[in-house]
Amino acid sequence: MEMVFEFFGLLKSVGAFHAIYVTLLMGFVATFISTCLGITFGLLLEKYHFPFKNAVLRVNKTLMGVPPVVIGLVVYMLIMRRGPLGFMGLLFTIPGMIIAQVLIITPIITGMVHSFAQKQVPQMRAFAKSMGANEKQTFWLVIRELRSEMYFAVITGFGRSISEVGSVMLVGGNIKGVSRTMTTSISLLKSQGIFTEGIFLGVILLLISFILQMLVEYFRKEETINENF
Amino acid sequence: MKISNLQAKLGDFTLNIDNVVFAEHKIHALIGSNGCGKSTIAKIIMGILPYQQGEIDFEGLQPHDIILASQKPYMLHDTVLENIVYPLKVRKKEICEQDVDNYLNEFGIFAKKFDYARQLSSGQQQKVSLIRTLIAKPKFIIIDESLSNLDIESMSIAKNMLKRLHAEYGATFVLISHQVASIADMVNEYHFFDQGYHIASCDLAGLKQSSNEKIKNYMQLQSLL
Repeated sequence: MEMVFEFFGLLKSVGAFHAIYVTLLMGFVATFISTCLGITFGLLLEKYHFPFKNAVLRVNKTLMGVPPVVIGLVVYMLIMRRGPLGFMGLLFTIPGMIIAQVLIITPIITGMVHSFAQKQVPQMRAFAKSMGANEKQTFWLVIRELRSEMYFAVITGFGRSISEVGSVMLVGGNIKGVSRTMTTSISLLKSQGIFTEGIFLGVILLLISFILQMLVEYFRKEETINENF
Repeated sequence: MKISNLQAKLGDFTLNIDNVVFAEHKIHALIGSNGCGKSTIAKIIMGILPYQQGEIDFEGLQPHDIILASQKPYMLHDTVLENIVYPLKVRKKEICEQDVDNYLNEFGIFAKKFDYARQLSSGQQQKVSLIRTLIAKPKFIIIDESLSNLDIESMSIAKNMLKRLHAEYGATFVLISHQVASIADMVNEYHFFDQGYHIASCDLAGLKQSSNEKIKNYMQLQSLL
């Protein structure tokens, strides 16, 4: 029993419980903002043709694979005290970390939604027109029909958010009780040679990842039945 | 509906229509070999494909008055019921489940009412697509090959359905088909196309008596001469 108390005491001393809260808060808010932006950009990129559209898509694809630490560095330079947005006091705060996360996740959701939409929306639009639907009805049909793909994109984005360490370390500063997340806690515990607690946090992250995976499976079930048929 | 001097370029294919009139309350058929532009016309009428020249006079028909059952019907990621009532929702019409049940029963697929539409066989999907096209009772109905993809028994059921609706409220039908004989008992006027060109519009007797070589060949191939 004493060992259990010691275990949780140590976790508390590195701010691990607050870190779980920060990780989830950051994940939900950043994913929500990125979802709104990503779905909008993805669908607009599918629907409209404009000069340099291919260049925009290529830049987005590049951003999908950019190392988060680079985004972290850029955001750090923007919001540091002497930076152009330094007056906003965002450095080492959760909103600052959310900005970095939005920049990391939005291209991923945009890219995924665009790729799904490109394959499926033209036939949905043709169907809507053949049924006599107007523009607004067509838009809602597309959203409804792409729902499982969108869940997939959003859950992928959320997974990326909670597992990310590089940018939140740079922008958040890993301050205990303020901007420490689960991943930065693990990084700190490792540097202190405290492995058991690190593993514990790792297991929690794995559990969250597992739940997300289950959700994806659930929403994709419909599609799988289709393919098997 | 009148289509005049229409030209539509789609890649290598060009559709040319001098003058085609779909007289109201009649059953029309677009006929011709594969790739002659029958489905393209349907898509142009529905606004799915663009055209560069010419005019389509809808004669007061609104988008809600026209409907198309595509050759490859798109099934919503939902149940058969939801697929069938979609055109009613689009038109903000009341959903009468009894109507849906009657249609499903007629085609013998009532048991599939709450099944996931994409799990049905392609023939069953064609039936759902047909019901979906007819349920909202639009004034102008285009049916692209759906009939020819059904088995003989289902085709006869579908034809009876069309005849009944035609008698009930006088919808204008445009059937796209490559089997003239199978729809000859219900069609009033044929519009013959060849390689993107509108060749002639006439009744079955007119087709049989035509001196046009292409029509003659086509009718011979269909064993109708």
